[in-house]
Amino acid sequence: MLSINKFIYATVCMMIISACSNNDEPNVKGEHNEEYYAGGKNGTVFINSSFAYKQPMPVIAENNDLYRQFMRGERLADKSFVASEDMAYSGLGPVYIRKSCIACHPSYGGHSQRVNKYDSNDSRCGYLLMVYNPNDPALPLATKYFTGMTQTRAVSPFKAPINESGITIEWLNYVDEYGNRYEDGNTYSLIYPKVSIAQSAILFEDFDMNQHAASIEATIGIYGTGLLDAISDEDLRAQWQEEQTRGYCAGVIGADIDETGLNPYFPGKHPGRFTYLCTRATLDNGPGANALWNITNVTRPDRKYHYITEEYAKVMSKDADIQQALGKTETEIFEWLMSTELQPEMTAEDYNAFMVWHRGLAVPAARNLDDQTVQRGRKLFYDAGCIACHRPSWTTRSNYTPLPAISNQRIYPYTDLLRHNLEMKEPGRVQLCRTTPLWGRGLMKIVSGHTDRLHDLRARNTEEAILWHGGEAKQSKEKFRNLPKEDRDALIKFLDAI
Amino acid sequence: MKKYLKNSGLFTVAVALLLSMASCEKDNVNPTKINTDETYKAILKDYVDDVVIPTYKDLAEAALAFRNAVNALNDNNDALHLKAAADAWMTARIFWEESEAFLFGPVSEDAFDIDAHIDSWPLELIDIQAVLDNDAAGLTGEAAWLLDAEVIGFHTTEYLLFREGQARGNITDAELKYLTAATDALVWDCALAYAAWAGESNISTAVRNALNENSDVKDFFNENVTYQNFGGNLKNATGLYGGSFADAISEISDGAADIADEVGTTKIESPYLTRQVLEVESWYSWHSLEDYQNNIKSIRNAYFGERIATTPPSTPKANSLSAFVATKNPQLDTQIKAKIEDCIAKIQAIGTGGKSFYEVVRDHLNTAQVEAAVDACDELGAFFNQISNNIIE
Repeated sequence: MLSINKFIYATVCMMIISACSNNDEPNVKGEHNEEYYAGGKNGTVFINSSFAYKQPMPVIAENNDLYRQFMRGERLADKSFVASEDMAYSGLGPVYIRKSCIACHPSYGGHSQRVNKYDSNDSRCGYLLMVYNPNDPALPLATKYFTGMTQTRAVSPFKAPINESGITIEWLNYVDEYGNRYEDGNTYSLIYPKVSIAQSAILFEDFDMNQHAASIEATIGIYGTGLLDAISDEDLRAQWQEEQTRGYCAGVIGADIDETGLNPYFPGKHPGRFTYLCTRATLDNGPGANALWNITNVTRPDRKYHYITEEYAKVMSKDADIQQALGKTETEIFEWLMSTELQPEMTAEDYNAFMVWHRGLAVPAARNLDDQTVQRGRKLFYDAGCIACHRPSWTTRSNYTPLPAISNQRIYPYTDLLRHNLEMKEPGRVQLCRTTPLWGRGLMKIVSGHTDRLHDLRARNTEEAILWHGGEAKQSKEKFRNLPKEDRDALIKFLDAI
Repeated sequence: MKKYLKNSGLFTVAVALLLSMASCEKDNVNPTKINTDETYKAILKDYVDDVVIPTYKDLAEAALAFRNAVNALNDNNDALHLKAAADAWMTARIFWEESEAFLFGPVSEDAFDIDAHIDSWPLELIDIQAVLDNDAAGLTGEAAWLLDAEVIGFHTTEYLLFREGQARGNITDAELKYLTAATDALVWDCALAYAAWAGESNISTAVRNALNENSDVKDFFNENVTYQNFGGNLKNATGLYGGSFADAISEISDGAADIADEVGTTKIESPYLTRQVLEVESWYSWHSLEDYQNNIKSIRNAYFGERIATTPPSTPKANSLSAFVATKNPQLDTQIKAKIEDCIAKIQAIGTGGKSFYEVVRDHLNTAQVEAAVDACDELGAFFNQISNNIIE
């Protein structure tokens, strides 16, 4: 219902503009009117303002019950949880990463932004901190001591595993093999982060930071994740299979995860498709569903335990200051921290509302697709082979039971949901990175005020993001580098349009 | 915000045809678009200069007046001065609520995060209490401004000043010290909002002096170049808007729709249905229903392109979104103007029987009035979505 007017508008524009366009432009007649609907007919909204990433899908907006849940869910994403009892949104801690979803997902949108300091009280810093072993090829997280997403905050009298003031983010210049110079002589600059943590900032006395490394990962947009969840496993596996036989850019599929008991809609094994490392398989046991709990440590009926390491619980329970402040023994503190039968701090009803919001965030429609420069950019994007991994479109499964209206939707996320190696300079833990969806990113500037891209936000704009594509994507990057500036700009304009 | 369409597509198709035909002209100039851009530019100018910036100016200056009242309370800690400080708090609070139809740009979490910093609810009362237990030792304004948002801002200062809808009778020395520091932080955040929208060189001297009191605040302002003089950029569709006046002007209608839906569904309906009294904001001053009406008045100001004290003019000024909508769809304009007044009246009616919203939620009173207000806000939001979807080209 939402989109009928704009659909008619787009179609009419397309028909008339194509009638007066040059003949040497790619023949995309008949595709464009559909491509405006990046999130499919039922998952797209037409909006170009700073409110672009926070809209409900039309199917949510038109259903009062779903809309009420959506707005409740938005509230839960917006609000900071607190540790004070007898207060709204209570349940924070005892140890945590952030107090709210919006702390790392400003405007629920494009990305958090590149910053110089890891300060979880700065709304612009949406980074997660990872501590891992760089000497092991699998780059395992130091999970004996730290939770996978490292906690840097604690509710008094508990202590943070890492003191944020000891975390340093340096941005270093990078000169690529071409001396940061295009074939046409124009130059560019590239930077990448170096993260270090002072030994003195670490709570655990027997943890040797010298034997470990740290890296940062930025958040990505939440909108459209319901639609990605609605892509069938069969289609995802088929994409992977095709990439294994084509002779180039063979993506890595996320390992199967048994969701039985974790996903009420789709029990059984599913390949990972969410997070940079494809470590989460479905939305209902996905990064957002888990983050609501493990970022804040707010317990709920299906998570009646803390996101915590046993080592942290041991150190905290032995701490005399904490024992005194709480008036509890070591054993009592340890057992409470490690309990698997804690009182839920969030109701199932609220969690369900949160998931309606999470699943129901619409994708903003594509813009200016009939612009001739955009069409030129589209052709260049295709010709450069970018679509080998940035697969333009998918059709969602026919039976997406959590939200049936987004079944059978032709969507345009521009991702294969597989991992590839771009061989970036010091990428941290994200060496094989999932192809990032590109839909809606052109609105980042209006929504978020910046255009920072890639997993650690080393790219300050789309152009730099392309230039960081090495490894499997090097050939495509080469084609981009060899284009005249006008064509490079056209390709970027296309990316801003989708 | 709820974005969906109710109107027929015919009008849009007609516009599409016109625009598309114009694009076939040999010269690349589209006269329709230029005229529209000039209209949008004029509307944006009055929106920024006559509504947004004066609202933030009043907010910042009211925050300074509030600080004067807190200083006077420090000189004479008695019930009279406490009441005066609470009254001054309320004056500033009203201007903040009247700004909520434009919670994009500088005040957003992507920019200076002022909305969260000064309007956070819930409060982290255990942290506030821990500071008070320590006699607020070492708590300066500078230190307070760096604290988490849940222990500063309007609601923390409200907590220190009010109980059950009234100014408190007395305040301890530690509480007064906390209040003094938190008030400084509030002043600086309000100054940031005003300076970011207007540009530092265009703000009043008193506020500029306040902005320069704290080097952390000034550094924070200086380093965020993108959102400085945001009003100037919005008016001219420059900066983030990249020359698109249509994108710029849709901030007015999308901002209005967003707060209309938030007032109805989130602020009123959600706590009422769940009976979560703790989710009712302005918990200590019991000012929620006035807050919500002021949010709708913020929409009214945005729509009329001027700040309206009591009754809106029968003929909106020429450079207003209202006048523009009237040229495109007079019926929609009439509906919006009527619905704004309807919303204000219906929110007020929630308090029928002299009840605060806190009491209405707690005792589940006035159900019919609550439902009517929620529906009215919902309808108002839908009307503004029609502007974004059908009117703005």
